[in-house]
Amino acid sequence: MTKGKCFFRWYVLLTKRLLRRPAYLAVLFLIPLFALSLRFFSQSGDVALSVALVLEEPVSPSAEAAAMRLEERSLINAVRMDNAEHAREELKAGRVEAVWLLHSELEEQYVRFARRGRAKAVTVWQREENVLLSLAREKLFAALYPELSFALFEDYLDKELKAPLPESDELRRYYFSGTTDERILRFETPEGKELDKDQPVLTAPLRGVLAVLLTLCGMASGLYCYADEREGRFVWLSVRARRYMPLLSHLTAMLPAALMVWAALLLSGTARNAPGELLLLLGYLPSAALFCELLRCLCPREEHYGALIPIWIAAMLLLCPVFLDLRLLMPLRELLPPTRYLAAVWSGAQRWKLLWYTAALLPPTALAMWLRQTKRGR
Amino acid sequence: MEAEIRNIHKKYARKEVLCGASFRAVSGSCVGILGANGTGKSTLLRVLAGAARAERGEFLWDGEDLLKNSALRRKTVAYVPQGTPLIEELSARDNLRLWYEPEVLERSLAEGMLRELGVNEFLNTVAGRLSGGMRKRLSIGCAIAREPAILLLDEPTAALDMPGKDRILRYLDGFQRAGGLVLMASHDPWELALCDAWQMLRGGVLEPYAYTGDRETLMRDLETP
Amino acid sequence: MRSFLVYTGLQLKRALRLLPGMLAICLLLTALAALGALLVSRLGGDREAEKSPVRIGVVGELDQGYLREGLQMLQSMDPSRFSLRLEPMAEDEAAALLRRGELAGYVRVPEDFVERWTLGEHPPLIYLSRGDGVGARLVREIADTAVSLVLETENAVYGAQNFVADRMPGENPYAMGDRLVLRYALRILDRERLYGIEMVETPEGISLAAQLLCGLALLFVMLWAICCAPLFSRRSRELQRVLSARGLRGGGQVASEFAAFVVLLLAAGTFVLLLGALLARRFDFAVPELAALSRTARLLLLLRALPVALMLCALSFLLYELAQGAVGGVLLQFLNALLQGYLAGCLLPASFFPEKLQRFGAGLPAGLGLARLRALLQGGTEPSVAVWGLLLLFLLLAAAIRDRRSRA
Repeated sequence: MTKGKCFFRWYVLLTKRLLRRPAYLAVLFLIPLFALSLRFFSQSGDVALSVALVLEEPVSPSAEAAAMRLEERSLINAVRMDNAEHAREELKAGRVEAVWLLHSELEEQYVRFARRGRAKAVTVWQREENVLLSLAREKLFAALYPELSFALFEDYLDKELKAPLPESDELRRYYFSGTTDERILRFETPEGKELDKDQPVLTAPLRGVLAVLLTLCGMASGLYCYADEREGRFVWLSVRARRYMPLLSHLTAMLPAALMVWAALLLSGTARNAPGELLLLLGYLPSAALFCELLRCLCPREEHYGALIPIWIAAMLLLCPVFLDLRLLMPLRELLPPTRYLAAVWSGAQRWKLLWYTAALLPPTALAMWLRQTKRGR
Repeated sequence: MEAEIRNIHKKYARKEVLCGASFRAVSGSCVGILGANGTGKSTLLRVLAGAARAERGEFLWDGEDLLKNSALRRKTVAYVPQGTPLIEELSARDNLRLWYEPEVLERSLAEGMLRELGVNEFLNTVAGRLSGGMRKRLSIGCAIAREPAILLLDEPTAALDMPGKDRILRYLDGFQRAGGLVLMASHDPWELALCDAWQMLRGGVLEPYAYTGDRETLMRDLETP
Repeated sequence: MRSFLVYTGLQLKRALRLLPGMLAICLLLTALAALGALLVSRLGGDREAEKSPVRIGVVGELDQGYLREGLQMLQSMDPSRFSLRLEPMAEDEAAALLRRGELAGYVRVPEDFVERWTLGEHPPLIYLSRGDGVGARLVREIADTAVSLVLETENAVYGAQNFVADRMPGENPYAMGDRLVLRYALRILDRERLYGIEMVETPEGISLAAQLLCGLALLFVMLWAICCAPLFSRRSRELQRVLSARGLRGGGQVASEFAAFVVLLLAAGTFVLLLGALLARRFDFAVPELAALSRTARLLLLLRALPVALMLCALSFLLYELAQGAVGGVLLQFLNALLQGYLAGCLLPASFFPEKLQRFGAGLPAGLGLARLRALLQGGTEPSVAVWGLLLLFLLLAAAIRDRRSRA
């Protein structure tokens, strides 16, 4: 019988071992469930910030126009409220992050701003100042801008150029001659792929989280390897085969999980291209398995290895671009498998880098495995 | 065919456990290795099985050094450690499938050594749920997949009940009669009674020992440094 | 009673043997948490110096219309008054800065863009970026609005030029246009003067920095529990049966082992808090709600927050009891930390999520824990029934499972 058949038989039986573990099955089952639930929740729309919008009576056409622009689907969710007091209560209760009160006679405020550079067009109430609220005010300004800009335009012609102004409609014709309702900005990746502007925020970190989970499956299977060594389960294998058993163990833990991750990416709508995603995940597995085995070989004792697992998880969640791209500790970050995988999602060149990374892990891992076996006396 | 263990040295950290252990045995015999706890019996068997590396020494079988020729060693020697190195979550059959080719497994179950061991009785039971005797029989069954000529056993019937001991010892007797060589580390009178020759491990070296079956004499000799 | 005390003593001894290694792990976890807190300070900072603008590059043929002048004018203005900066640059430079993450993205302006616009063609501008995260998406939205501001302005300038060309013969429309661009730039710079910004004191709700710090603290406890796998995941069922036969049933065993867990938590927690306080002083990081408290008040706050940590530890203990093995234990602990951390709002503020999810997350143990910590930071002093209730529930469940397994 060929070595290949023998390897396959071993692989199947070791996978069977894992699938008999309720906790492992629970993990496999929870992965796509988690993704589905995120997709379900994200259908109600996602927001980064909730802002209460109040239009002071009598409501001016500019205020109405600005409110409609703010109410378009966005990460900044502007919720219209009837009155300022109610909005203030919502702010105090922490249900909104800010209140934007658009004053009546907004057009006059715009004219005042155009002339003097100062006006009270909007009263803003907030609990604190932070970068998110500061960015949200850019959106507010953009919503006010078309009418404000027209006021600037008109004021300039009137006061600066002292030009005789035509009828309002005629003036608007000059102003609006170049405008368009078409989308001006198109979003793409540097490789030229069009970005889906409406990728839900909720599912955005899913890919990174699942990449970390896959690496964790490999690390957890490392604990099995210690137990196998302790119990002498593979004592009947040749020395060489015994040396590579841990890698096979990691792969048996990671491959079913990778298939579930693939299903999760498809179910959540995060996957770009089903066969491509699967190939990429399968390409990720060897690097993650080698990484886990290298870590295991560097820890002589099971207790040390187990204790370091949360460190590695925390490091991966923080340093790899899973939730936010913090760009901290770059050299360490580049060595972590999820970083390489996430980069490979976006770029063909990075996929080659993933392959090189895997190849680069081979020598140190092989050396570490050999040293560990020698130190253990075999 | 003759087996010769020659001048085996083995250290753990700075402590020398085996200091030139040597003896001879022929096929068709059973040699019992005695010694107090911690004298290195299990270490000796592990070295001979290739599960641990000796600093120096030879394990000759028909002129070939099995410590250097790992392929021949794996074909010739089967090692059954003190624990039962089974995968708890898999059934007995699945544990056997790890070590046997499918056709060979079926043949052995039908009319071969596995049938003699009585493994058929619990093929579909998960290994974690087997009794001690069944686990030991299964472990032996896994170890002998390659039809070895030499069987190394570390206290094979420890913690087993009498029927369990009897079954395994009958199997070992049959193995020996069929021309196999059994090397067994043991304290058990039943196991020792099966043996034709005995070696006492003391101070890291092996000396021939005449086991009479007398418990008190044995106790005294074990306690003698 | 004697068995209980003896067993508790043995468990404590076991736990204390793990302590030196545990403290080393805590040191590393705290270092990582400090990095996370740096993030908190960046997001939650209310000082001018901390509001570093988001940079967006602009590449392509900029010598069209007023694009280059407008952008350069913006760039020369006081940078601290911008949340977003559009910076002209070459495409190679922009691509390199984007790869290094120093740019959030860049806009590519097509050739003859302005001319084609005036002819009514409206070719799109291409915004190039990577990543799907909240930050990236927010910046894309803001970039969209920033570009529309620039184009709206451009449009107004051309309108003015056409007006001057039609109705003011003898005047130079281009000079007029230049002055209008300057006017627009000044007004855009002054845009915060359109608002009257007022900070509102709120009895409820805490600062973003405090929210993220609470989230990190809970996540820390959940991840730390993974370190305890060697102690709590491999247990001998035979020993449990013997103890049960000797009168120390599941409840007593769980109480003893949990006591060891708590001792480890207290030791690790004290170490982390001291280290965290040192790091906070070193990096000048402060949470407004804590900064306002005296040392005694902060200590009281910690004591009141302790049940939250105990509740999460009890949940981790229950998961170890369910998993019964090291591998399953580690995986379940991670899933617990991840699912609760994400859905309850420890990793990203819950306000980022839809309302349905916020309500769901608030019902999770970590969500209840966060609510409790928020209440404490707002000055609440009554004990939380929910937290204590869950703590007891998890321990009772663990005891019931232990009893069942011991008798099986």
